[in-house]
Amino acid sequence: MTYLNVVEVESALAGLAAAYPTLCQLVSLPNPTIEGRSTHALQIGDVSADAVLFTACAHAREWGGAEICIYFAADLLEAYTAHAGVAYGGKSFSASTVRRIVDNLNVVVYPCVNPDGRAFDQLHDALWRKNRNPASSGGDPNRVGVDINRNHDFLWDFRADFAPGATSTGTLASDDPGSDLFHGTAAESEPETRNVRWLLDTYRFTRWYVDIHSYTGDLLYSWGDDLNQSDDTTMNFRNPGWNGQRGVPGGYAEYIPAADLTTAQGAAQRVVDAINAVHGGHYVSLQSVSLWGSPGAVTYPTSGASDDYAYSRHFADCIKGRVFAFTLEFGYATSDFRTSFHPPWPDMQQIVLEIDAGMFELCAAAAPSFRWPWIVLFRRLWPWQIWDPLARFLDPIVRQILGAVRSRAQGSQR
Amino acid sequence: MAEPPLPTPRLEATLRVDEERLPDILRRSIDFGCRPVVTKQDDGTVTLPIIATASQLEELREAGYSVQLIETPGGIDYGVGQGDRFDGGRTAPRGFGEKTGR
Repeated sequence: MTYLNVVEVESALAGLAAAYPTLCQLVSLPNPTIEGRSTHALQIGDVSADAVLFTACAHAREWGGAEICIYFAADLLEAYTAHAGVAYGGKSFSASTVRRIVDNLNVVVYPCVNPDGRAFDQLHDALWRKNRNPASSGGDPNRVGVDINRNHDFLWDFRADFAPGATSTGTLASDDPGSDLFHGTAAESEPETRNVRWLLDTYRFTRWYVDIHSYTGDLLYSWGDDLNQSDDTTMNFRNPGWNGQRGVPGGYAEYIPAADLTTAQGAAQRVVDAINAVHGGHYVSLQSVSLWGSPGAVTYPTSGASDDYAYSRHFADCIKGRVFAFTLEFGYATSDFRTSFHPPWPDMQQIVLEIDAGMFELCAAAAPSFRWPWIVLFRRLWPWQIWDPLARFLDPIVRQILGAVRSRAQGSQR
Repeated sequence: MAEPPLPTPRLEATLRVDEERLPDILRRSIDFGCRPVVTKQDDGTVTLPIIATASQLEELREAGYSVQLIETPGGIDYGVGQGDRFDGGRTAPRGFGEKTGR
């Protein structure tokens, strides 16, 4: 066995769709890459159910994410068909859990977001991170490509949105095409980024999202632009009054409802526990912005990242569902980068077992044991083309009424 | 079609800095990997791996940072598949998990 090349990633997905036609379907992503590659995702289970979305390989050199996704899908489909459970080392899932996941959940895996970059890195061993868009390079091979994980529509305009102290941080994002963090010429300028957004738009009941990267042995939860706070609802990414103040210690912190934080932390810990149960690993969960385990010691603010974009959508648009989003950094640092980014295949196989156990655990947590038939019917039949504009129209009116009721109630208390 | 020109080869190195200088080093436009991997050392310093061109490494040395080049083991075959083991979708992959309770 070896790592999959980009042709094999696609044919593996096609093979699964052909082998299990009643359980899954191949989904064509609408935006071909700069080099003309078409990509696919695999949708498993009931599209009207709540969805869990897994994406991988946005960063070209982090090869193993594709294998993690594909072999997870293969295990899920194979076990369901055989009425079997699945065991990964010290972590196992019963046949009834497998059945509940496929019957009551919509699992979407998109194993290779950035196939151009993967193909380039696998051919040239270049430790390549970005896609292969040459538009901003001026013909210089050192200035090719955009970092997909800085190109999402979340605080993308980092020079305006973040404090000057943060914009000089070499980790936030960059408007220099020569940087590995080059964020592109506009939010969602890249086809790879638009494909991820398309999946979130298309599977409108997505409730959980994991973007798979490597390597630090972390599971990261929102937010990634600044430290979390749950007290001041006005201190948030949508409020231009805070522009120029984000991403540095003190002052600004990003609002997250306390209940959401509890849910995100609980789910992250559950996934980490499942991963560590396989071989006794030492994965940890922490807030995305934290570089150390202790929050705030040294921060690593990011702009335009996939996890923050996915979680931010329901704040920015009332018709979008809330998506708890995570970045999973599989593997550990070794003595050199190449082995860290793509471990020798026998080591990678062990990592696949660990992360697949974590993915199963998240799906098991997300899959309800029962779904009301009327909700299923409602989701299948409801005309979203009518409902979405209506909801957008009604949302500010409802908010205004609620605000007036709240302030009247507070007034009468005084 | 002619092969596009390749980027300048980059080297791997380990940076060692005093912990209080860590924010300074993170401000530099250096490739730290997907996220910086910072390791605290017993002597109060921290180390972190970086990827940089030879000239970037020289700049860091001139700025007073301790830079130790990592000898990348040569000749390792990380193993990328040749051809198409799934025969254009006519063969499905098998998962690595053990199927239980059948």
